[in-house]
Amino acid sequence: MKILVCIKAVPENQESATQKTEYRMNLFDAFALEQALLFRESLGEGCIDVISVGMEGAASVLTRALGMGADKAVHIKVRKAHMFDPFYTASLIAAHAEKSAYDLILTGVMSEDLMQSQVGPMVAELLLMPCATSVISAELFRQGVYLDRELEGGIRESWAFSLPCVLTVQSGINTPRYPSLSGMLRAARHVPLCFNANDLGPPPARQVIKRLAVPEKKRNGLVLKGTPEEKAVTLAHILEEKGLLNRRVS
Amino acid sequence: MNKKIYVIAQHDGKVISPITYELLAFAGKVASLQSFCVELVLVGNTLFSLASAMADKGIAVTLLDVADDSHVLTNTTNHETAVPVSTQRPAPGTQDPAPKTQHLPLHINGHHDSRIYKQALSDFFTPHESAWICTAHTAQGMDFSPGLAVKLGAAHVTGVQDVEADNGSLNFLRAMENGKKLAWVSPLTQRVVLSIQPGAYKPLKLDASTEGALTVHHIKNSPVTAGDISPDRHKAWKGIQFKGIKKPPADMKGLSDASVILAVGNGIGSQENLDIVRTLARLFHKCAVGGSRIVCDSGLLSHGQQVGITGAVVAPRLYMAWGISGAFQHLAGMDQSEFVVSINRDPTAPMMNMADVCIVEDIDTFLPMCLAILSGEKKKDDMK
Repeated sequence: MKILVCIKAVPENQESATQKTEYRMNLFDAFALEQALLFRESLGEGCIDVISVGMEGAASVLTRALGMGADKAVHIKVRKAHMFDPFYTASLIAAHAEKSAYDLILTGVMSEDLMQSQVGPMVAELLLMPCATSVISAELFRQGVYLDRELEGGIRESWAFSLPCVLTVQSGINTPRYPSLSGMLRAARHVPLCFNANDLGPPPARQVIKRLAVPEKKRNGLVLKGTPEEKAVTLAHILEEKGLLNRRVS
Repeated sequence: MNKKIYVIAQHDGKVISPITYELLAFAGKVASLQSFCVELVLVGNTLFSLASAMADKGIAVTLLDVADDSHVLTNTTNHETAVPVSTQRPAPGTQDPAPKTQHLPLHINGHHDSRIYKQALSDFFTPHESAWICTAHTAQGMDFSPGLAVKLGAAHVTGVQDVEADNGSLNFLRAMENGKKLAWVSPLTQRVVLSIQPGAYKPLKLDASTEGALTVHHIKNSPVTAGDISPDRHKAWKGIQFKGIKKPPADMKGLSDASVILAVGNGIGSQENLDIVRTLARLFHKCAVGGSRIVCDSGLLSHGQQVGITGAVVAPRLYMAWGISGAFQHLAGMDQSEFVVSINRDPTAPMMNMADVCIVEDIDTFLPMCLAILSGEKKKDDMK
């Protein structure tokens, strides 16, 4: 079985003049990679490729993925200006995946930084593969996957999907492993396949960020001042006044 | 004729989901900015009475009636009974029970099939050179919207919370980085798919003062035709089977009935701190302990204790958030709480914007202190 896991490198810190941006693996994609590793273990065979569309820093995240147990890594380098457009990212991934006949493509339900939830289902549509989003449990059977999708209010929907298909994975489906020492040693020797997005004929942008904004306050939060003790006493009095505490304070 | 903004209704085949009225409210705002007309689109079969009921409420409705005779699903479970979450599936490699083929309506216990939504909606919108399409940013909407956008060559802005006019075009507001930042996004395409964040708009109240209308389009149900794609992919499309709905764990009732909720987030840190929170809970009347998704995923709390759109939606008299940063899906599950206290080391956590009382403190120090003071074990005079 050939599995592709799409992994995003998300910034760990704010970029500044003095500090270089550090990247880490998008949490939801770590769940997707772990699920691929579990599938391979349950089958006793299989090949897992990881792909990341991202800037220079994505390479460290691919190394971690190899350390966790992925077999091969592909890095498609893009410029920061292109990182926002999910269709751009999906097109690059789909162009790579089209060449390799994957049985299963896994990715996280969204990225932690942009939270757009689009790349997985867009890759599926570009490849004309069926897609299940928000997958919270999955198990392979013969030529398919039994899966649960998570809906609102804790409700789950069960489906059987045939292969090939694309799954976007919710957090909590498994517990992502740490890279092993032998895995990291192997990863250090592996050179990811590297492409520049511009050489692959990417599509024009479909959307742009006009400007950023700060969330406004929904309630007029009273910020308590003082030592921790003083804050706790003030809080106790506020709760007491509102009749929310079971017992009288002091 | 005025241009239109289309709202794709979310429904379970019997009832229009409340989120649809939020989408109508959002579309109404866009319509007022651009003098568009709002039109509601229903996808499914046997929905004529549902669609005409909406038209009677004064809305222009388009029903995309998908022929159900070609919609054959194979199912192995009884769809009328809920399957408990703990039910085990057959082990990998074992044989399925012999499947029996049935004709099923498109919506069974609220399940929806994204294949049919994508195909019906792209058939309907392809002749439109430009189109504004609103879907719900829910598990259902997110399952078909990105694929629909690809089919239509449309930009897709997800989790939209607001809209503004900008020199004849429109910008849309969406959250990033767990709600810490917002971005105004501008689509660059003629067709645009927008998924609207639940809870961002107050549901539209329909007064039937305007005249509604109902148009019915019949759509042939053929999500993918053999010949379009390779045989293995065609088989994959045909091979999808709906297996039923699983109800949430019963302990969610504890949260929705509670008048005080002590909720813990990633900042809670340890099991010991969680034990202190449980002790603290005894000081309140009808108090339950809940948590954010990340805490429930980690196993510190059960999934039945999760507050948020994918967990329990609550509105207690007091909501105390211990170390919860406040992702939108969490905030939308508790923003109706009467009184909110947020305790977090990070003063920029989005939960602070939702709080009546903000306490910027380290949980490890403040939690034991708070227990001592609130329980009366430590009198305020002791400190002087």
